[in-house]
Amino acid sequence: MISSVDGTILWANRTLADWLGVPGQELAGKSVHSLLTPGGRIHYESIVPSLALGLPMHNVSLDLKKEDGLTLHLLASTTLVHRPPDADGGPIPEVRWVCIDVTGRRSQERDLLVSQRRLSRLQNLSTELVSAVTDEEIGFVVLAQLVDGVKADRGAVMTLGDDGVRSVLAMHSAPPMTNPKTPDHRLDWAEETVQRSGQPAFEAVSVEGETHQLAALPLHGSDGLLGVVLLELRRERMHDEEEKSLLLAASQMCEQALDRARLLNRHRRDAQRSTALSGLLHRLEEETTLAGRSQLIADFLVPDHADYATVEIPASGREPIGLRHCQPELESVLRTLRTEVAIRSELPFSLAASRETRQPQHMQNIDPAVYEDYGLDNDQLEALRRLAPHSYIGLPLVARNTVVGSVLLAFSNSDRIYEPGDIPFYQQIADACALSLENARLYEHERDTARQLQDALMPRVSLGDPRISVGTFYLAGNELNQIGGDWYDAFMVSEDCLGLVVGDIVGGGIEAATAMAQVQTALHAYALERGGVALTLDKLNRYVTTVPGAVASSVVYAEIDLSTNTMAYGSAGHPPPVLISPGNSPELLWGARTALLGISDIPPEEKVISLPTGSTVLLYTDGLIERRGRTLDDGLQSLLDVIAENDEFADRPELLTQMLDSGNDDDICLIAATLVPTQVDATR
Amino acid sequence: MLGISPYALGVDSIQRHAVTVAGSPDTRPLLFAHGFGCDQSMWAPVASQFTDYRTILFDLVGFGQSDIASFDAKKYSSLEGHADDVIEICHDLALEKPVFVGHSVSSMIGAVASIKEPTLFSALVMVGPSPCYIDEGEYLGGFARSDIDEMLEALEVDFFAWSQNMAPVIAGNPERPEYGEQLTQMFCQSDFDAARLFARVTFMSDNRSDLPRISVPTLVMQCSEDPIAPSFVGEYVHEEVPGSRFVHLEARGHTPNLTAPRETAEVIRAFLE
Repeated sequence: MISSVDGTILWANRTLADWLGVPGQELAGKSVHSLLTPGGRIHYESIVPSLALGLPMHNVSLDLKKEDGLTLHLLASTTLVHRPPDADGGPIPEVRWVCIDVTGRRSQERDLLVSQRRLSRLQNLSTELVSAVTDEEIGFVVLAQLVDGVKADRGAVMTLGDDGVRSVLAMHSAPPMTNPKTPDHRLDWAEETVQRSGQPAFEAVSVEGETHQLAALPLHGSDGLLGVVLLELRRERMHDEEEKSLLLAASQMCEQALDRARLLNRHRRDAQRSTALSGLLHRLEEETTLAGRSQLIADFLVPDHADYATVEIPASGREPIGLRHCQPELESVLRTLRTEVAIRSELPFSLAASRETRQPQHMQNIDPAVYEDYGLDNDQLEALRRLAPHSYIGLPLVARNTVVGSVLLAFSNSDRIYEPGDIPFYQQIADACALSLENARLYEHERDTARQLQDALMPRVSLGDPRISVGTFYLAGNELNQIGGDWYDAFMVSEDCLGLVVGDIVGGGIEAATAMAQVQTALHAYALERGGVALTLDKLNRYVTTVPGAVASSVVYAEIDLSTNTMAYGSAGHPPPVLISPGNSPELLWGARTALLGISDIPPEEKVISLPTGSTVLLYTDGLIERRGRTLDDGLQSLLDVIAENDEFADRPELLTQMLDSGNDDDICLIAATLVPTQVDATR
Repeated sequence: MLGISPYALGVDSIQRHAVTVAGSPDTRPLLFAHGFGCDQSMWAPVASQFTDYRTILFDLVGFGQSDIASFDAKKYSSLEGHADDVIEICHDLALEKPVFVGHSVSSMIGAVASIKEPTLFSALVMVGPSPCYIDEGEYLGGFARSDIDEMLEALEVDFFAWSQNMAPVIAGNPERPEYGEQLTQMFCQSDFDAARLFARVTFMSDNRSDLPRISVPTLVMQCSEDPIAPSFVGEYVHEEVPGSRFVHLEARGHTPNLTAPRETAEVIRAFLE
C-alpha cells in the first residue's frame, strides 16, 4: 500500500483488498482512517508523527475493519519516499506500507501477553507478600492484585477462626459492598461453599437483572481451612481458564503467606512467653515468702495477660493471697468478692472447681446477663457487675501431685478474650508457679516449726535464789534467714552452784533445732553429775559426735559458786564472756578455751576467777558482736565500750542489742548473771 | 539560530527534559509541549518559523531525550505531574510570561499548569485538545471505553511482539545498536512503561472541570477531520474556556504541526499579535 503522509490511500494491492473483502480499486482515494477500528485509529495517530518525520516503522500494529465487520490484524512496516516532483512543485512525500496478516498470530500473542501479565502480577504479588507480615497486610496485597488482575467489582479476603468467627482482612468494593462489620450474604455464600467442599467455586448469579460472576477460593493452611477469598465481577462471561489459574495461583500464595505469618506469630509469641515466664521464675526465686510470691504472680499476670488476677491458696485463708486489678480502685471489690465466694465450687467461674477437678476452668465469652444466675446476694452481684468479667480462666496450682491452690485470670476492661489455644500456656505458668509456691509454703512451714521448737527450748529461767539475778534475752535474726541454732540455759547445779550456758549450733532449720535440744539436755544432765566445768565440757565434747548436726558447735559454760563468789568457766570455740565488776572496766574472759565441740580429743579446761559482789557475768552468742564488714576484735571492743558507758543492762540485757548497732541478720542470745549484794551477805 | 546547550545551564529540569532554547532572551518566550506518541521534534517545523520569538522545546519525561531515570510512576500517574514539570521549567529558565503551546494532551497539561499558577503564562494555545476522550452521559468525547482498551492493547501487543521478535536479535548483535534504536523510533520514547502509563493517563483523564477555571487568553485550534479530537470536542473546549478564541484549521488529521506547519504557525502568530 502507498499512502500520502496524511493517510490518503494512493494505491493498494489486491492482496490487501482481498484481506479486507473489498474490490481493489475501491481502496484508492480512501483515507486509512476510514478503515481503522476506533482503537486502531488512536494507535495509528500515535505513530503518524513518526511517519511524517520520515522515520521508518517496523512491525507496527494496524487494526483494520473488514467488510464483514471482523478485525484484520496487520503488522505494518513503512518507509517514507519522495516521489519525483510534479510539474508544479517540489518532491511529494509518500508512505510505502508492507503489511503482514497476523490475525491468527495476534490471538496467540495476546494469549502470550496475558500469560506474561499473569506471571508479572504473580511476581509482584510474591514481592509484596515478602513485606506483608500481618494477616491484614497479606489480605490487602492479595486482594489488590486479584481485583486489578480480573477487574473485579467487589472482593474480600477473610479468615475463619477455630471458633467459627470470621474476620474480614481486606475488602474491595466499587460501589461499596457493605460495612465489613455486618454480615453479607456473599461472604456467607463463600464461607459455606468452601466449608462444604474445600474446593474453589465459581458461580453466576443474577443481581437486579444483571449477571454477576462469583468466585470463592478456599485458603488451606497446614492446620486446615484458614479462610476464603471472594471475588465478584459484574459481567456475563465466566472466568476463563487464564483468570482461574491466576486466581488459584494467587490464592495459593495467599494461603502460604497466611500460614507463614501464623507460624511466625506463634513462634514469636512462644518466644515472648518463654522469656516472660523465665523472668517471672527468676523474680520468684528472689522472693521467699508465700504471700510475696503469690503477689508477684498476680503482678506478672496483670495487665499483660489479664485485666485482673488472683492467686488463692485455701491453706493460707479464704482471702486471695495474691491479687491485682488493672484499676487499683477495684482491688478491694475484687478481694471482698473472691473472699466471699472462694469455696463455692458450683459457680461457673469457680476456682474451687479447678482445684477439685485439677482441670483448667475456661469461659471464653461471659454474657453479663448470666451474672444473675450465679446465686449471689445483691452486694456480691453488684461487685461482680463492677468487675464485669467477660472472659475467664481458672487454673489449678498442682505441685508434687498436691493441689496448692488456684489462679484466676479475667478480662474485663479490654476486649481481649481467652481462647482455648491460650490455656496450655497459662497452665504452664500455673505449674511453674505452683512448684514455687509449694516450696515457699514448705519453707514457711518448716521455719514456723523450727521457730516453735526453738521457742519451746528456750527456758523460762526462774531460779528463786536471792543471791543472784539472771536476765536472759533471745532475738531471732532477720526473717529471711533460716532459724539459727543459738541457745542458752541457766539452772542450779547444786544448792550453791549456778550453771550458765550459751551455745551456738551450726546450721539452721529443724535439724539445728533438734541438735540444739539434744546438746542442751546433755549439758544439763552432765552438769548435774557435779563433775565441774571441765568434765562437763569433756563429756559434751564426746557426746556431740553422736548427734547429727552438732559437731563444730560452740559453747561457753560457767558454774558460779554462790558460797565462795567464784566462777569456773570454759569455752569451746565460743566468744569470751564479759565480766563487769563495780569500779572496773568490763573485762573479756579469755581463759580455758578449746576447739569447737567434737573437733578435738584434747580435754577441755576450766578457769576459776573470783566474782566481786555486784559484778555481772555476760554470756552471749556471736550475733551480738558480728557485723558484716567489721572484724571480731572491733565487735568485741564495741561491746566493751557500750557496757562501760551503761550499767542498766544487767536486768534488761535486751538493751545491749539496742545500744549496739542494729541490723543484725543473725540470732542473738544473751544471758547475764549478777551477784546481788544481800543483807545475809552483808552480815557475814 | 543558535541553540543553547541545555547542559550549559546546569539546571535539573533543563537536563531532565532535554530543553532546547532558541532566539533572543529579550523576545517573547514561546513554550512548545508535544503530545502523545512523539517528542519535541514534532514542534520543530513550527518553532523554526518563530525566529522573532524565544522558542523553548522540551521532552516530557519518558519521551525523546528526556532523563528516563526521572520517571516516577506515582508522579506521572496524572497530568498534574507533567504540569508540575512545565512550571518548573518556566521557573528554572526564568521565563517572563511565556505563551504555552500544547499539542493534544499537552493542551490539558498547560491548562492544569495555568490553573495551578494563574500568573505563569500570558496565553495558552491548544492544538487538537480534548478534555476527555471517552463518551460519558451527554458528553461526547468520540470514543467508548472499549476503544481505549483496544488501543492500549494494540500498544502493548506491539511492544510485546516487538520485544519477542527483536530482543534475541538485539542480544545477539551487540555491534548493531540500530536494532535497539528502532524501538525508540517506533514509540518515540525509550521507555515502554512510561509510554503505557502516559497513554493511560492521556486517554483516561477527564479534565472537563478544569476548562472553566482557565483565566488566561486561550486559542483553541481545531483540525479538519481530526480522528482523535473531533470538531465537537474542540467546540466544547471553546465553549467551556472563558473568552477563548476558536480557529478551525484547514489542515487535516491530528498533527497539523507536522502536516501543516505553515498554517499552524500563522494561526498562532495571528493570535499573539
